[in-house]
Amino acid sequence: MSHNIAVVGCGASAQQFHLLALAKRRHDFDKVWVVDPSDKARQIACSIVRAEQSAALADVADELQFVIIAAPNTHHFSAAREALSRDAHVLIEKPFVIWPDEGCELVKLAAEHHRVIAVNQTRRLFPYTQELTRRISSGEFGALKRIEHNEGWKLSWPFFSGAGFEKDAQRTGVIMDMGVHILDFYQYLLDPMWVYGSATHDGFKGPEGLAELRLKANDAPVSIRMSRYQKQENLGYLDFENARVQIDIFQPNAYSVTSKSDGGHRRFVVESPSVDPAFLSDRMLSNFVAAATGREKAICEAASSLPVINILDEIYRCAKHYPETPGAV
Amino acid sequence: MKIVVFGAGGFIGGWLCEELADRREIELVPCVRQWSSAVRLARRGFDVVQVDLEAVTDGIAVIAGADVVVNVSMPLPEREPELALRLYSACAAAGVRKFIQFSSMAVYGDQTGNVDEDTPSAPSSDYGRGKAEMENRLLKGVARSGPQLFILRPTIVYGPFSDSWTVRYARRIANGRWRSLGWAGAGTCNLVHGQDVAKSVVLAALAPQDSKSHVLNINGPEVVTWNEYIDRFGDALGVGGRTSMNPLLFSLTSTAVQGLRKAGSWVKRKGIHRPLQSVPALIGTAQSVVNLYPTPDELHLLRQKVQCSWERAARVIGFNPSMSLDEGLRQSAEWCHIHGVIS
Repeated sequence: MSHNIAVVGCGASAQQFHLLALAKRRHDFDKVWVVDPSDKARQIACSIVRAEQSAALADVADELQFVIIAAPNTHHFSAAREALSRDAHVLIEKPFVIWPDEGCELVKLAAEHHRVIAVNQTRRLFPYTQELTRRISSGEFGALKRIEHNEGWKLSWPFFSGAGFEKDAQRTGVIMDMGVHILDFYQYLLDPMWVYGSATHDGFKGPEGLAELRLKANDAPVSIRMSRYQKQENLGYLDFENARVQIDIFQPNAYSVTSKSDGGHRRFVVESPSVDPAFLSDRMLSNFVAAATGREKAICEAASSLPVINILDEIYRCAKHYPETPGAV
Repeated sequence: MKIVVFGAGGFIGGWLCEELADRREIELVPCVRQWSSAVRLARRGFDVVQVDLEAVTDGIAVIAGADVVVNVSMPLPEREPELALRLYSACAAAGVRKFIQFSSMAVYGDQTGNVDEDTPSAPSSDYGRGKAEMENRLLKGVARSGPQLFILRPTIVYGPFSDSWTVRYARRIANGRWRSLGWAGAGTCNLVHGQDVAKSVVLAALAPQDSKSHVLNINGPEVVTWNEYIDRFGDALGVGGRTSMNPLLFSLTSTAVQGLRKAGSWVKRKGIHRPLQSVPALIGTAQSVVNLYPTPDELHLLRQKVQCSWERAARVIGFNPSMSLDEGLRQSAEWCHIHGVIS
């Protein structure tokens, strides 16, 4: 059986992650297709990995066993549906969809076709995520009491297109970009029941750059601030009954635990070959292919991201804006 | 009136676009060099255009039909003169009526006392030299049939979104518990709010056109020292436990920290910083110390007693800065809290 793969969307996330992983594992695939309407994007893609080119997925005549979708968010649903209808396993860049009903439809379609649909939620692969999931589910820390998470930096991502900044761009701001990472991380860690509290953002007539969320995860208050303007603390605090756990966004292999009984503070370093994005994208691709061929369980299967898509939808629908004074926010 | 703004993704560009947004008579075209700097603009639904002036070689399509072009972009100092002149020439070819170019009070260098637009430039930094050279080349290169040239020299532009003079100082005041710096902060702080700078551009754009080029200082309504700025901003931020620094110790520490700053840059340039990443506390501490203290150029600025007159801007375009320092600081402090600049 041949192993053909297509990468749909060859912008920054494909160039920074997926194509690098594919180049490393090029020998695992027969044909690699890079699909993008932009000639320049395809040329750059071909300079990273040896591949065939196509402007549209529909024009790829070969059978495809795997499709990676790294196109702008609004194209995820249509591209994934097309790929699934061609019986391909699908790995989608996060957020895998922007509307809950689209997410449900894709998960259903994947099940009908017996195909894997996974999402590139890289934080699930962070070394501390796996260890913390185990420790939390063992009950070691007790019940969750509170989460506080502040994350942000001046945006510097090398966007290939301005799709996310267009006037009519829908749900492409910091909540969908950074928020989906943050919420998916806690989703994976705690598998909670999310309840919306409040949300405020500055997306007056376009994608927001600053947002504050108040949610509940299994009755525990969750406070999140995220910014594309200013460096934040970039730490997450999980307050449990017996301990306070602190994670650092930029230290994916270390976390600290402060005991509530004796105040003892300990830093844990989780062994990992690497925490570089290149390593994580290789790990993601390898897990995706292994899950598609029944050798591993998909770490980032799309169905497990649906609660996050649902709460994000509620956040966007119910959020308020900051006061619209020029410059003041 | 069609106004094209280059450098719209920057701090002043953002203020300018927000100022222009609600004016029905103006068709605004904000241009950014890279998409990632479009965050502030995109949230307000602007149609942002991506243009890298370095990459443009054969005409700039976006200026077709423009009445006014504003250049607030911030290229490297050594590239600025050529890029600004190239843009002016493209505007001349496209029939643009006015060209408004941003310069800086840095062209005055280390001069003290009162300075105005007749004071000769004497830049003392690469940044100032780039601006002065850019001004010279533009003023010499003005075409008889080309757009009228305005060169605006804002002073210390503060307010929400100002990384240099609001965010950095808010963090220093909060982390270093600064109240005043004694003689080390006795220099004049020529503060002008971003909104007033934006208004000066609008005034220049709307002023009756003639063939004369104008260089205009843009400054704020109040004359204060850096010590007053730090003290009043600290009050507005609500930072408690602030103390007056020993100016000699502060200056000596700043000089010593410059050594640490240079060493850090060298280590990073040589790529030997990776092993240090396993000791995040060490890196974090070093970064906090480096960020807390001013560079030698900044240390000099904090002591420099110089006042920039904006009388000519008042006379030529009717500029009259309206944002009081109290209101500007209140707004800045509120913004800093909302944006998590200080906790």
